[in-house]
Amino acid sequence: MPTPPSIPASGTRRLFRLARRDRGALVGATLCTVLIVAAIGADVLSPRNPLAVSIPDRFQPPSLRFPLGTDELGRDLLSRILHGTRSSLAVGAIAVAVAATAGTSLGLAAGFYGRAVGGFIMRGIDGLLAFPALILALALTAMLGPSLLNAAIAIGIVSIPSFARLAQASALAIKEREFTDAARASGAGDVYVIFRVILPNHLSPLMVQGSVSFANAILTEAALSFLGLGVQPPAPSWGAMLDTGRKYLDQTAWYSVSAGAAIFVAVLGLNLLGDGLRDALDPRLRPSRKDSAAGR
Amino acid sequence: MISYIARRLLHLLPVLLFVSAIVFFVFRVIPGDAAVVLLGESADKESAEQLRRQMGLDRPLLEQYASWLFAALQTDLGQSHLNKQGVFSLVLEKFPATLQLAVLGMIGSLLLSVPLGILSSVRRGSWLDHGVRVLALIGFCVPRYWLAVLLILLFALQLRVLPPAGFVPFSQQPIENLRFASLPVIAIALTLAAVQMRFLRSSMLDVIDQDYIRTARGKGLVPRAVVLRHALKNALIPFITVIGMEFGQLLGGLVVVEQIFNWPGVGWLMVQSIFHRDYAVVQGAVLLVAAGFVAINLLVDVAYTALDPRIRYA
Repeated sequence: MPTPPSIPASGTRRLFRLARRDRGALVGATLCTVLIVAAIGADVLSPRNPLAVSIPDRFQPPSLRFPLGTDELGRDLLSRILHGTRSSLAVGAIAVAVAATAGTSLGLAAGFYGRAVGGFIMRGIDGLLAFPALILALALTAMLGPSLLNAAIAIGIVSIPSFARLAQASALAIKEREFTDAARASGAGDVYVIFRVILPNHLSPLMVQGSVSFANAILTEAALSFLGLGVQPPAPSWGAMLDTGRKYLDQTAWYSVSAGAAIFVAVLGLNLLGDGLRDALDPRLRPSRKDSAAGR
Repeated sequence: MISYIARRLLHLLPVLLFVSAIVFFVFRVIPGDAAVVLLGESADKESAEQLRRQMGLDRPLLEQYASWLFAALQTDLGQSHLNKQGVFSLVLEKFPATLQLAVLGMIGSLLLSVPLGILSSVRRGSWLDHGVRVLALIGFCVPRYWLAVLLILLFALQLRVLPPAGFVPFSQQPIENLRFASLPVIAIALTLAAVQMRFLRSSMLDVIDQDYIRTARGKGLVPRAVVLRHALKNALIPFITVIGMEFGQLLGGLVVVEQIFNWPGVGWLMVQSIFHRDYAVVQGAVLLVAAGFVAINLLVDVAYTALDPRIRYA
């Protein structure tokens, strides 16, 4: 059987070459690295225990002892923001995994099998798209019960349509190409064609959509936590910190502002990385931003 | 055109059916069940069983769905157990407040994005263009709820020129109402404008490179007329889609803004109802918002076809 041509291999090499030229992507990649380091090293990097309550120290302004000040229970804000990175990245990763797996499978099947099956699947996707993303995520978490995992699953379900539509478009285009015919002629079955011919050629748009959806997932998670439906206290979460902090705005601005800044930096980094990936992998490619207004 | 609209409406039926099914079944996985939620955890088994029969919860799921859908089509979405009001009228009552924020926010964003988007595309590569693009990127990534907090800090706590949160109906005190609306509207407008600027700039650039623009320039038309009468007209068509999409998403995006500014709209109602376990209200609100969203998308598609004679949906 012929080996189908694979864009990603050369794409990865082009990626490194372009990263040096594209300043935006470089900034994005750096910010994302910072996030990952913060999440992994939260225990080492945090000056204090993020859960340690110290009432006498409440609402301290930034100082050497508390670099970003303290919250309403005297907990160190910098430590809580560093640990909050974990929740945000965990939710983003789970949500994107759920959405990419389900959405890509559904989209590939819809594109590959065409009319009846495809029509049925895509009507379902249209049904999901008929909800403003945050409203559906809100309803789902309200029903599943508030927790990090449930928020992640809800956000994942809400993000399925953008992955499905992208995969369907890829499948429709790639199944008409000569190398697909070649694989077919050499006796490849449906499963082989979908997973070994179409999927590898769909990886570039998938990666771009993944980074954009990751940013949206972080925004939506923060919105859910802000409303009390995401990560539950006392675990640190950026959205919940932003919410609690705004109730004490007249006492300390640092609280809410620093939590929001963390969300902003994460979203900015992921979006810059996504833009850079798109330019590097395929300049004509534009990811679906349909679910982007979600958390804002 | 009419047959196109008719076909689109027909196409909507399965989507709406699916939407209603999602709404119905999502709210059927309530931990515990509606009868226990209504009566409280301490209710005895017998009265819970009786209420369940009364509510039809003992019937097959599909039958329950059918009768729920049938009632919903006649605007009967059940009752709020909190204030004994019909869900449909309750949501409708909160809708004008949400619509006010959405419309004012949209107008504000267009006042910003249209001139800036045009200027930055016309002066491609200038410092103004770079500035607009950086602003658009920041505006695109700033979480709206964070921007709202920053605005409260600046305008309400530091400068003390605007109230931090609150609401009075426009019909009673129009000026006070607008003062309360200012900060949420600014937060909405700035974040919406970012996406619009990005989009308008790139669709203007697409158009400006085309031959008919060169022809217009070549026949000696003043630059202003070329940009406004020839380029903008065509660049605005795809722009309408973006505005429609943003407007639809706003119905959901306002949930957090309404919460921050204590603005009693539909999103605020939903969050309150979730915390009071008033699920009939949440369910009804989600269904109505989704229906509104579908309707807006249809309007956008129809406007698109009507505005661009080149698009013919055969």
